[in-house]
This record gives sequence, C-alpha cells and structure tokens, in this order.
Amino acid sequence: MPKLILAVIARLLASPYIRGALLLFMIAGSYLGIRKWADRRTEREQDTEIVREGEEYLGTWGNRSDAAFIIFRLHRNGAFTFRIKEASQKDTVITTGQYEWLPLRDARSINDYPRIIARDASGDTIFNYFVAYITPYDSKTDKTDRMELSVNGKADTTGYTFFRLNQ
Amino acid sequence: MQQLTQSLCFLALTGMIACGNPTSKKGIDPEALDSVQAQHNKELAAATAKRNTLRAGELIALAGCKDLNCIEQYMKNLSPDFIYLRKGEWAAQQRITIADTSGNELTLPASTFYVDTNPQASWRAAHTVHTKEQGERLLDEFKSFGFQLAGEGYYLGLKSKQQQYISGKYPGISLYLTATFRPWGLKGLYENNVTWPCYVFEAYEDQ
Repeated sequence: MPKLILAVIARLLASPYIRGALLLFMIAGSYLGIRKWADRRTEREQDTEIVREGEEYLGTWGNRSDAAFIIFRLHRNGAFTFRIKEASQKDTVITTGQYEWLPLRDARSINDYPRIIARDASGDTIFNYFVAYITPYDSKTDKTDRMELSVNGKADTTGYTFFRLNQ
Repeated sequence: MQQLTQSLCFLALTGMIACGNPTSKKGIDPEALDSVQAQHNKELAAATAKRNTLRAGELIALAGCKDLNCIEQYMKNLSPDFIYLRKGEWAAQQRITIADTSGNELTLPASTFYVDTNPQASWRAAHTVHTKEQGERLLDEFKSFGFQLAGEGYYLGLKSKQQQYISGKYPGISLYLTATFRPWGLKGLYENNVTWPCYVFEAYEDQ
C-alpha cells in the first residue's frame, strides 16, 4: 500500500504543472509566514498593532469634541484601553479591560452592524457600540482610517466618528 | 538552480514588503485630529441631504417635462437630497421612521418621485410623501404660490379621489393631491402592500 501511494506521488510530481503549482503554494505560504512573523515582531518591539485584511478594527482610535477627547485602543490580545479627558476636568481617566469583536455573522439580526463590547476588570460593560462603518483594508478613498460607531445598530443613526491615531 | 534563485529573490522581496506597516500610513497624529475631523464634517455636510421632500417650485418646473429624459436632467441637480434608484425612480436620501396602521415601525425613504416607465402607459410623474406633516407643509408651499382648491374627483384614473388645485400665477398648471394606500400599482417601494397612508402630489400642464 505505501508503495502504491509513493508511486502515485511520484507520478504526480513527474508533471511540471504540479511541481509549478506546489512551488507557487510554497512561495505564497512563505510570503504569508514571513509577513506574519515580521508583523508580530514589529508589534512587540513598537507596542503597536499592524493591521492586515479583516483586522481593520485593531489599533488606536480617537475623537475630539467640545465635551471630551476620547482615545481607545483595541489590542491584538483582546485588551482594551479607554482614555477620556473631559473638557471640564483636568485629569485623563484611563480604564482598561477586555473587549470582544462581534462580526456581522454573530449578530442577532442581519440588520445589525458588527459590534464591539468591552468590559472592565470587574466585568462591568464600559463600551458597547455597533460599528456602522470601518475603512476597509487598502481603501483608496479614505485618506485616514475611520470607524463610525452607532448606538443602536439601525441604519442612518450613526453616532460617533473615530479616526485611527498613530501609536 | 535558476528556478531556486528566482524563488529566493521573490521570498526576499516579499519579506521586505512584509516588514512595512501599512497602518501607519493611514493613521494621524493626535494633534492633527481637529483638522481631520473638521475636513470630514465638511465633506459629510456636502453629501448629506438637507431636506426630505421636493419643493412646490420644483414640482411646478417638473410639470413642464413631457419625457423621462427631461425629468432625469432635472433630478440630477437635486442630488444629494434625492438619489437615483433605477429607471424612473428617485427617493429622498433622508429616511424617516413611521408607524403603519398596525402600529409596526417602518423605516422608509422620506419621500419618492416616480415616473411611469411602463410601455404604453399614460404619462405619470408623482411625488409621494409618507407623513401627513410633510404633505401639509408641501401643500402650504403650493398655497403660498396661489394654488387654491378647484375641485375634487377621479381626475387621474386612480382608485382614490384627487383634490385639484389651480393658481392664477401659474395658468395651465394643475396640482392633484391624493391621500391613498395605493400610490402606485406594483412599483418600487409600493410593490407590496402599502400599510401606511401616502400623500401623492402630481403637477401637470393642462392638456
């Protein structure tokens, strides 16, 4: 039986097309592997998040209004950091916890947007918003990455716009 | 050997690309946040609808159109308040939430402007609003242009009665107002059962 399998493999590898396809797979796999390794290394060294396809929500986001300056960071490891400096206060309040990113397929209804829920160390919910829009990876239209948070997940009810900040 | 060298070169190149951080190119410094937000709000304001119905003057102007091309040319200038949906159909960009006769909440375009594009259909161009307040406001606009009630009847062949309004300032133009649950037969937003009252404004030049 092993002889038969080896014979089949040998026959397959005899084809230049199969060999070419295998080489392509190896190159693509190597590329992705090296990219991921380099990304994680850079993230560790620079304490930042490198965003790739499907991870657009990661990173540091900020919004400044007359009432407050808010910055929150969604870490790759699920940690959540929330900083708020209210205009009427001198100090910046920092809250940390864990967050969950619920993509659309996990939402209760197809009409709901994806959602971010963050809880502090004691389990209290400190952040709970639908994501109405997020700049897609490799977007050519948005000059700056943008995340629109909505309070209720219904269309046309966008609440807050956050922009990606350099870390 | 040559193949191996090429593969190694390719891997080295992809490795170098992988080390770049595309995210940092699209992030901003916190100091720049104010100006970026201001620019974003400005762009948003330019693309945001300011109103949710047509104006009486616009309906009077559209009454002069006798073909779809004329309507399309006119409606093009009303963007972004009104957006093109498909042939002969435009809708207000703004949406409203209304309660239908069963109490269910519905979120709809605040108003529509449809033209009958069916082959052999008689000419019909109608602006449908979905709340009584919108209808009253638009009718008040027409009244400010001197339009007064001239009669009531089945002028347009619809199942509901129309009120006809005419104005001495705009001779030859009639406004027909219909309160109905069947503004259009099987068209666009009104393809299924319409469970909320609609107020249809149609202005035509008299034949």
